[in-house]
This record gives sequence, C-alpha cells and structure tokens, in this order.
Amino acid sequence: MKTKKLTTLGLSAALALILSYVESLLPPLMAVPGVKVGLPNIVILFLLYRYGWREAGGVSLIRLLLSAALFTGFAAFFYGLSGAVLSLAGSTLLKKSGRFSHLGVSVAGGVLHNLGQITLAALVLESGYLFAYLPVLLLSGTVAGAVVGLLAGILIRRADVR
Amino acid sequence: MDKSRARIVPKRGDIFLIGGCLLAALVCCGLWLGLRKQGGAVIVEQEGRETARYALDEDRTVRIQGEGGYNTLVIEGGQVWLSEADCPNLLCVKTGKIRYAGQSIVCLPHKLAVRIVGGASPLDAVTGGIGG
Repeated sequence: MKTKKLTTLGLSAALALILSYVESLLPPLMAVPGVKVGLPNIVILFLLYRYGWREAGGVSLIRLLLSAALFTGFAAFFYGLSGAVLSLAGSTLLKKSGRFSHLGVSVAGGVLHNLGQITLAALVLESGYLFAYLPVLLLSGTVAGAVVGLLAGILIRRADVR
Repeated sequence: MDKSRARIVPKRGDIFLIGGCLLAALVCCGLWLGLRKQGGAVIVEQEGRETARYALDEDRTVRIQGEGGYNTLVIEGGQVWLSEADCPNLLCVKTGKIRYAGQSIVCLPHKLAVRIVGGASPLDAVTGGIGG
C-alpha cells in the first residue's frame, strides 16, 4: 500500500505540474495578477480528500518549486507559496468542520489563495493601493474555486473517496 | 457504485460561503465606486520607494529603468498607462489605462508600482494605512 501511495503522489505532482504549464499557455483572462482558474488545485483538492493536508501540501510545494524552476521564476514561487499555504489551511479547516462540501472547501481555497497573494504583493511593494483590486480578486477567487471544486468533485466521486 | 454517481449536493455552508464571498466582492466594489476620486498626481514606486512624481494633467512619456528592465510610462489626457515593457508577462501593459485616485498599475517582475493619488480622496484614508 505504501508503494501505491507513493506512486499516486508522484503522479499527482507530475499532473499538477503539467496543469500549471497548460494554464501558463492560456492568455490571462484579466490584466490583474492572480486572476486565473488554478487548474493544479484540482489535483491538490483531490489529494486533500484522498489522503489529507500533509500529502496535499507536500505535492503542492513540489509543484510550486518545479513550476518556478521551469516556467515562472523565483519571485512567482513566493507568491504561489503564500497563496497555497493560506488556501490549504483554510480548506483543511472547512473540510474538518464538516459543514461544507468540496464546493465550499474549494471556493474558500480559491478566495484565500488570492488574498494570500495580494497581501504578499502589498507587503513587497509596500503599497496598500493594491487592495483596490480586492473586488476583482474576491470574485475571481470565488468563480475559480467553484470551477475547481466541481472538477475535483467529479474526480473525488469517481475515485470513490468519501 | 450508486453513491459514486450521485450528483454534487451543496451543503448549506457552501451556499452561505459563496454568497458571502460574492457579497463581500459587491460591497468592496460599491465602496470603490462610491469613494473613487479623480486623481491629481502620478507616483512611481520602485522596490517600495517613491522614485518619481508627476502631475496627472501634464502629458508626458517617461522611460522607467529598474534593475529588472524598463517600462514606458505614458501620461496623457488625465489617464496613465504603461505602453511598453520588457517584463515576461506584460501584465502591466495589459492593465490598460487608469485615471482615478487609488488605482495602480503593477509590474511585479520589475518591482514597479505606478499609482495615482488625488487631492483629498477618501480612499487615501482607507487604504493609505495598509503596508505603509
């Protein structure tokens, strides 16, 4: 069983990396950094349900490191990390509360992802003015989270997890 | 097998959460639209420090050189935009034109922020305290 888990996690990391590459090929929907669907999060959300937050976080970290090294660069790693940490923490808590389906868990993840990134951007640039983008980021986080939640939901049901 | 084909059933919490997020977006948007003011000056910040300040009503084109590369700033007819840059994603150019106090154009790869400040915009008081 340990080998199977190891293989699953390895494949998941590869899949998440490919998805972040695919996403980088899509033209930006809006000219605000952070507005994107977050396709790799489908994999991360699936892992959160299949195993737990440790496995999901581990694969997320590997994905971020590899995608930073290959496509996006060093600075993007920290933006991704700040979003990923906040998002995973929030999703884990909501999932544990038992009051939300994977849809709500994913929406919270999407919104927190954006909040984490904009907070870091505001700190790095020392510019609170970035928060003028808050409505856009809240809306896009909600929509992106819902899309990811629906897609991951299909996976979670097919794989018969919970 | 039956269970795995079941449709997604959102729980009550989901509805409240999604509704809450959309409401928050709407409230933020309303605040922004209600409080925005015509800008007075354009501030250029590189790595968090102000490096230049221009009047919004004087047309000009400036090349901003940073350690990461350059961005070309255009001020024309009370609007501000970045017309050119050598950053990888060009999000700053795609941001387009801004004109209200509190709006900004950001180029993360070059650690550059161009923002508009107004005379006595209420938004300054709201956002000015965050992050110095």
